[in-house]
Amino acid sequence: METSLFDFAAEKLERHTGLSQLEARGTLRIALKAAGLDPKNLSRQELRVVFEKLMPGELDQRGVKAGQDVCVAVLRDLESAPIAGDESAASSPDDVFRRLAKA
Amino acid sequence: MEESAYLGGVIVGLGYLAAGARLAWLSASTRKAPERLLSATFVLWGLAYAWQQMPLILENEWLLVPLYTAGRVLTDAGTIGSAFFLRLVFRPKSTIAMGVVAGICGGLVLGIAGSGWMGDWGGMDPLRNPWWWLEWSAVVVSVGWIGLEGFHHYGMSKRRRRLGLCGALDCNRYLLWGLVGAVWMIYELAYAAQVLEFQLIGAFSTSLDRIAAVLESAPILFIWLIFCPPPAYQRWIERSDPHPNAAEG
Repeated sequence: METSLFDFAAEKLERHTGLSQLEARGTLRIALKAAGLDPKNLSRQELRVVFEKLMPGELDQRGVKAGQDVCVAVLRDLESAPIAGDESAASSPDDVFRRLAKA
Repeated sequence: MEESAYLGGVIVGLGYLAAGARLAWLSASTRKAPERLLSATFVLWGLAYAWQQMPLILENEWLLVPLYTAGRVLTDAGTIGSAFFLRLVFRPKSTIAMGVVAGICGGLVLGIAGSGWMGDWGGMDPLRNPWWWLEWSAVVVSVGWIGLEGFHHYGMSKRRRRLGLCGALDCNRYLLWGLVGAVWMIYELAYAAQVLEFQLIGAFSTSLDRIAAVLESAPILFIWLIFCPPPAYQRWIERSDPHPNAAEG
């Protein structure tokens, strides 16, 4: 089964923080919800913004030390993520509505 | 019903036909399923309005039932298109959404078939015909779904907007899409009241007729603002954006 960007990012978060799998996935889900994003339909750009702007605060709240460094490490991993393609690139509701409005 | 009541229906029908034609033109170049589904939906709804206004324009009672039936079939076919559009765009991986689409399709098809079986092809006898309510419920579910997706994604897009992940117009489109569903939902309630009123007193009251006409017309305005926003409207939305530095997608 192909790894999604969500699974990849959650696994890296778990590795860099020492959080359990459940905690890492839950933390990422909470950050994505705060960002108005769907875990099943993510792009790298969206994940990048979440790790830059929201995740440091989420990690801080959970007592993870050096949250900023953790996010930089996950972002570095994300650049080389072996994900087939950005699933949301052309299929998110935003993209569909934008395309329909450009007729 | 007022003498010129059909004029509103004709204008709304033309609005749907124009919106459908515009999206059909787009789908010819993109060859994508969402625009094909939505253009088919709008064209079918536009044609349905045309068929249903025809007996009023021609003042021909003999044509009433056949053309109303044709309009009903076209409306339901368009509603099926809109349900597939919703599933494809908002819930592509959801089996629950596929179940809702199947439920809508089943309700519409059985509603018309059952109405025919009861001899109520025109759909004007809800007191005697329980199938009318099945069809009506399927339409209510489908327009309710439009509203729910619109408002849900409006809430989500406002959060993305704060992070610069979508534009002010993206947010506004979801708000308008939610309003389309909400107004259609209220219209369906008014429509049911109108049909019941007609069956009980044998006439349409002017007040309910006017309310239904407004509720019927508002969504086409919202649809045009979503898919063909005038430059002045776009500028107004962008000017009133609380996060003007965030990127437009």
